[in-house]
Amino acid sequence: MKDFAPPPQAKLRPASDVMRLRRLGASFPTRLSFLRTLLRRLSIENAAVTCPVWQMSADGYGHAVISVPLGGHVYSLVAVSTELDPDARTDRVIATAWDTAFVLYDGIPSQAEIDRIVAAAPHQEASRFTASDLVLSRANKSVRLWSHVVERLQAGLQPDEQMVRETGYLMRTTAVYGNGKFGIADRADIAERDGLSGPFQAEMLTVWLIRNFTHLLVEHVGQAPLDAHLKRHLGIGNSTGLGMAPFLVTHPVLLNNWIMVRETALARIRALEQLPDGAAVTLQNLAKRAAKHLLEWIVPDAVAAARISTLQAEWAAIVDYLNSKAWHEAAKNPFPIEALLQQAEGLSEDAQELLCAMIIEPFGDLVDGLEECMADPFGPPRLTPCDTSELHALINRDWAWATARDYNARDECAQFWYVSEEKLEPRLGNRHEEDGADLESPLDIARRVAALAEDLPASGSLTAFLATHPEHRFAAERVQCLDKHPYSEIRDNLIADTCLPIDMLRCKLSFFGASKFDPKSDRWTRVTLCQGAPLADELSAADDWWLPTFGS
Amino acid sequence: MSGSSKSANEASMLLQKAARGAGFGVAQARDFGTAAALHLYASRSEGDLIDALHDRIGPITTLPAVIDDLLDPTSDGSGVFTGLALSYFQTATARPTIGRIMMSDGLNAHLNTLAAKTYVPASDASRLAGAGAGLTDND
Repeated sequence: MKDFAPPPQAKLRPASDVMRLRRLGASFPTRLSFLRTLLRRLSIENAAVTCPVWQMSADGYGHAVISVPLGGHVYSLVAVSTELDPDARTDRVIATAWDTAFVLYDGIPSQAEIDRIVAAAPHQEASRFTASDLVLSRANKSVRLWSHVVERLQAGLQPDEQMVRETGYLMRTTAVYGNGKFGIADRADIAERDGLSGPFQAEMLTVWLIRNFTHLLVEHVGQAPLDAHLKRHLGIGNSTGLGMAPFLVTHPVLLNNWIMVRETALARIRALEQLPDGAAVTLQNLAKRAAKHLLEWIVPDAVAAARISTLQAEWAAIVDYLNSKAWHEAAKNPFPIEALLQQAEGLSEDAQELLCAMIIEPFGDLVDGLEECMADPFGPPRLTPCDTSELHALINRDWAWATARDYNARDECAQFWYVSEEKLEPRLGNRHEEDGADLESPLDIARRVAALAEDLPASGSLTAFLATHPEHRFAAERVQCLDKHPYSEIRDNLIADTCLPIDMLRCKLSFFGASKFDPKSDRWTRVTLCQGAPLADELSAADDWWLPTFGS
Repeated sequence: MSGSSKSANEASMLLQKAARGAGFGVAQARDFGTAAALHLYASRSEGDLIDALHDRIGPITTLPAVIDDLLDPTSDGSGVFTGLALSYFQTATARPTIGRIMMSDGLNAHLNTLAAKTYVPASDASRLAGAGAGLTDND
């Protein structure tokens, strides 16, 4: 095996800036997002998607199997479509019935396995699954667009482009379960397979296949093909609530690795002394595309709409700069990307993060492959015995943002995370108005580390201290983890009244590759996945769909 | 003995929640979840786990610190530890990959009862504040 020296890189952006909740909540997808890396892989393998089973009634109820090879294995989406009473249609986790249900199956299912999944999948969490089932999911129709598309196709017409542009998907998933849930395969079972070793690759494959299924189903019911440019714009919607937020806190090394890879990519590009031929023009074109994308990003939420409006105005200045004489000069000078990034200084976090995401896009030869470092095959590091003075030193260096707060103050402890008995879903309560804080989930990392700092002796054995204070073991582990993994902690108080879970959701979803964030409150959002992504027969041109725009 | 097959992650999470429900700390419950899953995968005694869950000053509290002191990556621990302590030691040193786990119905029910102690009953306030509450999805 040859050793390759990594490319030069600039200094990484400091975690004290990158890991603030507001900045994480301004994340955009990049070419390193999980859907992008999956689609590149499918493209490299020239994967051929097939549909060996299609048992659907004329009005679109029944089941289907869609198969695709990846990394030497074949995976099959088993899709079940059932008639749903509109009164039962809800995106919330408390739902018990859905328009469609899905299992990503390991291999090509036999008839007996199809029969098993068709019986079990519609019941989702109430069913048990097997190690051959890799991912479990379900989706509801966007009723208004679905009905419109079916009616137009049946009339021999294409759907109204404005409606396709506004909604952007025919169905939205409301859960995509992996890693052993309800008896499905553990991630460890597939973590070393080519093509599925990266984070959430099986889940992303499921989502992309579901999107293909929605196209096939609407064409089946409409009895006519959809134009390719419309299909390309029809991604798959997703409704995501609080259930996703704790993941970033309970998987600190994974969070670190995702952010570290993105920041390393950015640092490599910032270190470019000269732009390669054509890169300046590519950046101009990407900025224009992003501007168009922002104009198509229309949401009803007033706060989100105001942010997008500000971003549109700020982005116009970036586009102007990239078309200016100043950029043409800067592009010829040393370290041109630094000059470009300086244009966003003083702008909103949204503009700064969008610019960072865009800058990564044209430089695949510098950054592709970094995604192999995004998984966490080792799990969280085990506590290392040390002297308490060493732990104090780490706390003083890394945790001032946590220890400087008064957690008895009403606003600093206003919220508490918990798991509801109703459907075992994470929720966020008001500590001063609701019961249940005695059963709080441990997302109060900052408060725990502050409590550790207060009780920790100035010197002595950490092991001896923890033997008498086992309640501080968790915080001590987090302190040591942050020492080795600088991007492993969200550097804000997650129980303060200022904590907005939507920021955590957006961070995670952007790594999936989601765009068009459409917050419905500060604790759940709709997004679009796979919009602009290649269709099943377009994998040969799979890699130019960052922030897609309608008709592209 | 009737039982059910669980994924390793599913079993580990249930064991972890049960330890939280039994009153143990976050790190202790997580370590128990990991070690106890290996314990079951290795067909060791379910009784060890139930005993541990009901001993607030017993192995779930003490073993992590014991392992800290004795951790020796050159040993497989089999000459030093037995029972649940061996499972703790092995997960602390090697992080072995484990497969499907058979769990008796009795243990499964016991763990679920303990895990349920970590759940907060729904209230009108929590339902109203829940993600997506009050919105129609027929759009």
